[in-house]
Amino acid sequence: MRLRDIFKKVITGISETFKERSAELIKLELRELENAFTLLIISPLIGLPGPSTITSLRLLPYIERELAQSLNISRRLDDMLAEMLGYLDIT
Amino acid sequence: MKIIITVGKGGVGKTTTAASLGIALRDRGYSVLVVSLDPAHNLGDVLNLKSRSGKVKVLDNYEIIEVDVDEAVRKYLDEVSLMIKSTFKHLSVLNIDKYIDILSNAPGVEEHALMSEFKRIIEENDDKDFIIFDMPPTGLSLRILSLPFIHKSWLMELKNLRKAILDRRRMLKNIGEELGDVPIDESSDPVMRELDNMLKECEFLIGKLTSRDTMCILVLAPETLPLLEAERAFRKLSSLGISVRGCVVNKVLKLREHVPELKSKIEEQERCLNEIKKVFKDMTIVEVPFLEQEPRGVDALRRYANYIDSLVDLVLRS
Repeated sequence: MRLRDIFKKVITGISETFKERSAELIKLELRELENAFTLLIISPLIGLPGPSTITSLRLLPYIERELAQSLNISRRLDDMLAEMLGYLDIT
Repeated sequence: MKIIITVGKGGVGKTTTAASLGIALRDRGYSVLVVSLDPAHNLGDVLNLKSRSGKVKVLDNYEIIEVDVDEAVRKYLDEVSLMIKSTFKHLSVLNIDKYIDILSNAPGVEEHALMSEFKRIIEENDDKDFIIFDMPPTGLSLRILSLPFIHKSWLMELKNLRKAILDRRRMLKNIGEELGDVPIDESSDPVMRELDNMLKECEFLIGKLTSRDTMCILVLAPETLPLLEAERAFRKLSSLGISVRGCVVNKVLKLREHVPELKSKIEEQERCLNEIKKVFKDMTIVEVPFLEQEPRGVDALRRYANYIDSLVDLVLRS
């Protein structure tokens, strides 16, 4: 194998790793943003300050997926250590 | 079309002023609609009306509406319920109406429903020269009138957050990540569409409330508490950009003889009248004397209108 091919493989490997890592971070950020959005929408319905009840009711029909995701997150919040280790990719 | 809103403490004469101003404008050849948004109506009582549901024609070019607040809340929640039901069809077995009924008592729903009626009435009656809104007592009035402004700031925040979410989804899609069937741009996102719809409604209301064709008139009695409340209302409305241009000081005691029992009352009145002239110096202020009988019926309201003549001129001028 020529040196140039080895170099190319290394660069591609590093690039792929960075891409994967970046994608993971964006996914994590997306999940948290969606979670924050859902919490804001349902906050008037669970007694927290937020937009009006009517705003919540009007948006509620469209956030079914986000709502299910937030419920999943809330279930996992009992194990905060595992959640943190998961974020840091420590297994 | 011009919008006039009467604001003041309960029992100071907002309804009488609104009804009488309407008659004065109608007598000058304009078409007028007077709307009571007060949950405890007495617009129909002031006009001695028996039938008072829906839009009632009192005179040619003079109509009134007493908004049924409970009905407005019900109608508003029915629309929301319909929207929820059409999306969560699989939950119909749970009888979602039961939960919607509970929501009619949720904080803010009454204000939302009244604001929604305010918007509907303006849209449906744009052929009128004047729409006069007789508002509930100050506290509820300010909550209703500030609602579109507060609502807008929340919607802007939600919109920014939603934009950030759509940005991240697009980024992931661009690098080939599988996200499933989720909207990635604003045009295909139903949440963004609904936020935009709500924002448009808010902007319509803010536009109407802050327009040069809209003015608030403060109604107060020459007493300390109504004056303090009127000052607070003036500050709040001005901070929202709603123009307050007129002030009706109602029930001013004008005694022909000295009555010792009313000495301190008259002193308080004098002090308040001086304060009113100072605080509301840029407004047209009219004084209405304490009348032996409360004005009821069209003729009595016409006589009342003589006292607020300069206010009628102000409305026609602006």
